Amino acid sequence: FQPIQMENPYKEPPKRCVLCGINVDYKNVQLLSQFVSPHTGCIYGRHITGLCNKKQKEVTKAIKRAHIFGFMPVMYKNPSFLTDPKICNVKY
Amino acid sequence: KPETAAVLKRTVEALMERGAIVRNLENLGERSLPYKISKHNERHRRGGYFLIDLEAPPSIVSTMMDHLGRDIDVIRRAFIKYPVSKTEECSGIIPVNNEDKLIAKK
Repeated sequence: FQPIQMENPYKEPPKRCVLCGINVDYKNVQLLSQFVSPHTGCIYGRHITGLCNKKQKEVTKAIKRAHIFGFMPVMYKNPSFLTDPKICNVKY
Repeated sequence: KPETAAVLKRTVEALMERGAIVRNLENLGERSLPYKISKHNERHRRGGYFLIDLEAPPSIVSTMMDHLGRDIDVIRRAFIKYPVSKTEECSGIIPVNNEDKLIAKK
């Protein structure tokens, strides 16, 4: 008897990242500030945020846009957003 | 406040003059800027944010940027493509097969 070829029945659904259904906009500064360091204001990389390719690119572009248009501070994180829940696995 | 109304009226009229169709005008509120911006020999700390939905030929962009740059009351100007929101195809993180990539390159 030959083994029947079939798709892996125990396959898990693909892992979704944090932003997987959410539309990223340069206007919601609170969401974008969650991916920025509070001390220097630099954008966290993919290994820290854990986002998929597309979303990381979108977030980076939105953050740069927000910087230029004057929505988000560049060198630090807006102090009113400092108590937001932690999304990225940063070790301070 | 009447000054901001006058600025908006000026810009919208300038846009209509060059043949742009204004769909919507949103006020994103007046807040203190994230950093002090110096423009036209003045250091600004507070500003009003406005968003105009436009339909216009792309040749307008350079002329409008010029026009808005000469306006003293406008601190920062920008044009963006209308954001097409399509997030229903997000299929999650696809695990990358590194071994296959190595073999294929060889």
